[in-house]
Amino acid sequence: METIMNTESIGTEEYVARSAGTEAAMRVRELSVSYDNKETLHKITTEFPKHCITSIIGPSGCGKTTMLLSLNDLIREIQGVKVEGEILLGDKRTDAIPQEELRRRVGLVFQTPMPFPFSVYKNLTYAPRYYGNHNKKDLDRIVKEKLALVGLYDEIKTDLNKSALKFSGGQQQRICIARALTVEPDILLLDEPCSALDVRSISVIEETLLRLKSQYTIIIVTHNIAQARRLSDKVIFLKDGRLIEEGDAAGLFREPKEAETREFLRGIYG
Amino acid sequence: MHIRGLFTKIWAYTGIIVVSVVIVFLFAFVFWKGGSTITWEFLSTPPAGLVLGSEGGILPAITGSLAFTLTAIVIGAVPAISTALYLVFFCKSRRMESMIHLVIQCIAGIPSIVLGLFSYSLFVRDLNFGRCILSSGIALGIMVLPFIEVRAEKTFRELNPAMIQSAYALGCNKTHTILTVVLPACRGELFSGIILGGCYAMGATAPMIFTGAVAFASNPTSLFEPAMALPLHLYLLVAQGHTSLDMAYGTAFVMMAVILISNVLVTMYARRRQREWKQ
Repeated sequence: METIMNTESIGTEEYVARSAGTEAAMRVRELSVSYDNKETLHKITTEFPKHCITSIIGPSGCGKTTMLLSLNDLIREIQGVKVEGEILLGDKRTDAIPQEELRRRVGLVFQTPMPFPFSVYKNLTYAPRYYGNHNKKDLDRIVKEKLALVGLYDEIKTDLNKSALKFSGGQQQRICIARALTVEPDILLLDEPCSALDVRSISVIEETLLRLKSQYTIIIVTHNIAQARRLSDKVIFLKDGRLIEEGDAAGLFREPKEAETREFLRGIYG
Repeated sequence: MHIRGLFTKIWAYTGIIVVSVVIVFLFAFVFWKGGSTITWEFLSTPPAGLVLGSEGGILPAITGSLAFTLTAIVIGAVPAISTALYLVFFCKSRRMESMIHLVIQCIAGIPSIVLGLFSYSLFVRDLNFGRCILSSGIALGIMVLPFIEVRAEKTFRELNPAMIQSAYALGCNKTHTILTVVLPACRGELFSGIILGGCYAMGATAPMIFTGAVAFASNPTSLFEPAMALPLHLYLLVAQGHTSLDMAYGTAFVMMAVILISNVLVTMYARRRQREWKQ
């Protein structure tokens, strides 16, 4: 881990070589994804270090969300999709892990806050109940613990039976993060989780993510470069479905190696 | 640009006014002609008179129509909603999806009289169900299946995909997601589609005449007996000539009132559900 964090930004192959042996929560090798034979991701090889926040950045349509959806196999819900290459969760190929287990271990939070139209309590007990936990005491504990983890318990502890849709956008998004944590994932994927939120909510969510990284590996897709700078330990830059550059956040933002990364960070495109 | 905008506005308003006037006139005409016939006795007694139906009421036709309609929506709604669920959540082959859509469109395009004839020869004669509510219910169920399927599929497709994927992302399987998230979320729209399909079935005379509706039957007590139906009753009264025309308008009044009230109730219910969902 130290090795990765101390490197400056480097090309893909060199990065992978230098980070070999470090503990990665997830690895991607030669991942290609195409929709209706149109390639969206081309032979991506990278890894996501444990207990770090990795940001995937890049211009619109570069394949960021596709990559995220590939990691917990939600990509296969899309018609006409073809996935090649391999993704490893720990040391195990994800296609060898039962889909249910994979998705439980790799949680995903979407761009728009999307709680189920139930009470907060029911939202947070939805997945544990699905996995057979009907013990009231246990469920109460999960609700309290996960809401506290996202810093929401004290704010809404008296409103647990209120519809989750009645809270502010930022609170709804934190409910969604807490809901994703109720199944005890190893990795938390977030697809532009702050894009629909106001500045204050963004700051609260960012604080939450920074707090969570000690317990979870976090992979976040963001359009907001400043946010990637504030949050990330590692950054992956994609363009036109290709991995252009990756590296530790400080290095990549200070001194990007590739011209395309420099242009993107300067705001020339994207 | 301004002239084009003005023209579009005039065109749209004219269309709305013409359609509204026609609808209001139609309802007003039937309600004006048939309103005076509507009494408690008319609604709660069987037909009577020397020319049967020229006196008395239409109770067996009301109960019969309700029996045909309920059977039709039960028989039609289950496969319609299942097909929509399959197409939206399970079907991964575009070819299969197109094929199923083609079949649905073909069923929707079958003239009701042909459907009646088909149901008569298959259910009434070959399968020996006889002329009964069940035979008619199946024929009407086939008729309303595309009606309900198209609406159900549209409702499922309009549901925010992130909500469904949120459940998948927790590891929940499709069946659980459909039962606990999709169906409760779409309940209002599905219910309104089913009831509107029922209204459509209630007015379909041809399949009923072939398969289960008979003149002046008593109130139905079983699925395996024929029954009277409002559209058939209306047809027979008009066919008898001027002697029963008031009764015919009264019957039409009841039919339109049932359909209108169902529509209003269903719209209110769907809106309430949508409001609850979005608040």
